[in-house]
Amino acid sequence: MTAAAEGRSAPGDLCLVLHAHLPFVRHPEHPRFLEEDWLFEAITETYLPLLEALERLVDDCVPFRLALSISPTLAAMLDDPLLQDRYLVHLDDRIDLAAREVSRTRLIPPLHALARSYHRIFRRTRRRYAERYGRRLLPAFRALQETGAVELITCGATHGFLPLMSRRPNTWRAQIHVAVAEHARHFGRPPSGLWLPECGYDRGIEEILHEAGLRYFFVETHGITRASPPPRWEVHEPLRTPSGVAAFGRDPDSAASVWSARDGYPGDPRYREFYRDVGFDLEYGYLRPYLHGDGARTGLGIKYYRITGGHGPKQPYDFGRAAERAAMHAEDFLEKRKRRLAELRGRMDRPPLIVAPYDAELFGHWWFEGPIWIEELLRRAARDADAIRLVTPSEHLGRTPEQATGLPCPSSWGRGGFAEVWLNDRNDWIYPHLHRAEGRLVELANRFARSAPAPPAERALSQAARELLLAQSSDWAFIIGMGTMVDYATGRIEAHLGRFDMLVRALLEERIDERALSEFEEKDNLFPSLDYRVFADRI
Amino acid sequence: MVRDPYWLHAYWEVTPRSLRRARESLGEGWDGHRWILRVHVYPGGEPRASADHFDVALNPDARNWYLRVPHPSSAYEGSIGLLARDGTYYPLARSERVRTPGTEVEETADLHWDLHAETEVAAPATDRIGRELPSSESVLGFGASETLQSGEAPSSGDVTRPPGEGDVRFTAEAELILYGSTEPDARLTIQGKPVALRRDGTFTVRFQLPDGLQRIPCSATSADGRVRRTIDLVVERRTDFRTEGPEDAGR
Repeated sequence: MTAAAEGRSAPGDLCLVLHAHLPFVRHPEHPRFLEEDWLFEAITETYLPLLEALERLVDDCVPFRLALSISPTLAAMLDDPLLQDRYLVHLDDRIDLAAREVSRTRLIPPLHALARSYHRIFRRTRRRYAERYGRRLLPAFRALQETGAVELITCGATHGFLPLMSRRPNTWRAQIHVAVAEHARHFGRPPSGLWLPECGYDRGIEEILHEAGLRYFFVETHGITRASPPPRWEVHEPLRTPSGVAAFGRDPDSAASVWSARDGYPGDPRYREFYRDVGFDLEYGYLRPYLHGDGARTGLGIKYYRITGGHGPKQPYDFGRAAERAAMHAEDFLEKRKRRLAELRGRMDRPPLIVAPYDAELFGHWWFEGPIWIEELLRRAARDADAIRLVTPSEHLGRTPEQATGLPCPSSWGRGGFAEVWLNDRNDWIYPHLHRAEGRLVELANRFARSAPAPPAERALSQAARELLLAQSSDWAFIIGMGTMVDYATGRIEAHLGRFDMLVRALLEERIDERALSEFEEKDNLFPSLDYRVFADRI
Repeated sequence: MVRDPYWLHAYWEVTPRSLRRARESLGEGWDGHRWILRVHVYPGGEPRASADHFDVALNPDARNWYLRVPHPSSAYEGSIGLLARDGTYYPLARSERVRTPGTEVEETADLHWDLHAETEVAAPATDRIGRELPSSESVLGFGASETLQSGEAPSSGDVTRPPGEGDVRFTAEAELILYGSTEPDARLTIQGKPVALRRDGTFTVRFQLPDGLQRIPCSATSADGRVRRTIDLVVERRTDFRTEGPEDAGR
């Protein structure tokens, strides 16, 4: 079938985008570390279930399409041998607790059945992680990319919120170029697109994306509807920026189906209740061996109840009924998108597009049944190819040679739609420190790039660049703004900027302490091929 | 920095040296001076020569400020400085020009943004102007936690409701710990299921205890299988709920 004929046969394109990201958390200096659990829980609840769902679709020859962004910090952690070992220790703990739960719940049949399910799930998770993948998940994602069904894309190197950075475009260039290089290193080819951290867009970013060889990025809805000028079909067609890089706008209806507090799918009473976890519910002495050093209660990944609704006691969770519900919700989502595409098709002179991006960790971690929903959605959409066509962003661009041109409006997908989540009275103290370091690094990069610094100076500069990038992660400002793990996030900014200052001072005084430098390199060991010159001006 | 179409954030630090220079320059005008943030406005972003400006009075100890600005999609340039009583303005530090995003369709290109001062590194924020949301049709919640928390997912204990006004959260649960000892090489079953012994022949099993009568037969069989001893435990749990207080409490 020719492209044109194909274009006529399907009323429109659906582009599902998942953005997987966690901040770099790795503490070799402690035997166990609470915040490392973020990664471990996401592997158990999101990344492995997602891989399994997508691999099953490939095995069943389902012709699906999906774009998946894997942030460079997440990729670095998934590829790190220390964290891989620790994940297995973490899983062994969970398996042990689940085994005790099987015994403890014996007098209460519904809970007993659930405890057995968790025990089975954790053991299976361990087998898959250790044996099937040999602890390495990145090659598994890469293999999915090779099938053509999944388009892997990247994100900012450390998920820095670009609109609040100083010394642009140098700082933007560092976040973007380092990400592209890391992506190519992990996945064997450069990415075609980039997920802007928090969808944070400001004008000029598209030029750096172009320079880095990227073809597209994503913005929040009003980034397109308030663009200069907005494209005629708003978020239902890509907007080509003057640099040639395309901007895709988030479809607000697709977002609402999932995110709406009132009628979003994850709030369904049959779904698993996130906040009821044995770590908070059970007797303290029994749990103590599974808690971290400080003994604070924390989620332990065994959750017996469903959301239930109303004010009565929570009802026990039922895997089967929840899975049925997820399939229904997938059907509902698909029907709504089909209806919308049919409407648009009647009016538009090109194949209409719906872009539905989500945080990957929503699926499985927050919304336990999310991976089932995705699998069901992709399966059903593939069966319905006459009414809806799953596409990757590259495929859609390839099929719509004539694109509207313009510049998106500065925007983000955070509350308020701009920068207030990362800039408010709780976290604004960060920026003078970050901006000072950004200014200093750009200045040093310019100065040293012209000479050929001795190897220790070269290493110190590149490590200083790593420390600055880590301090820039939007996660810290977000956490401090939300008032959750404030001490940890504050400590991280202080630690990275402290190391940055030490390195810069040593460099300027020509007294580089190679032991301290090696220690920092071992601690913050991501981006092994990073070169500080990425921060220098380009002539 | 631009926070949204209606709010900018500025930070600065003024060195003692530049303050000394200001004092020398203002001379007698120094007495009764006020600190201000002077903001030049370029509506629509046009860099016209005669831009409007407005002043914001600052607390001399402030190191940063949230600034309400009148026009989305416009360019702003700020400086902080001293305003003498006779109206003489002595600027101490100037920002780059920044541009707010639009709330509607707009056409012009962008400029840079950042407030720069002679030296940087400011203290944590102490001053604050309240926030205001821009009108945005696409504010759909940022993170899953936020959305789920406000959704239909109250997090409550097993036998209570989420606390309403004046209510009190309360849960009470009961577990049964069954323990004992036998010969280290004996085989132990509880309710017919084999249970592992510690090396010294002791054992501990805990059960979450539901309401009702539980019969829990425990049997130990000697290693050679010739002797079997049984202990039958019968336990009953009954749970009643009561709420006292205003009529609607806990409803």
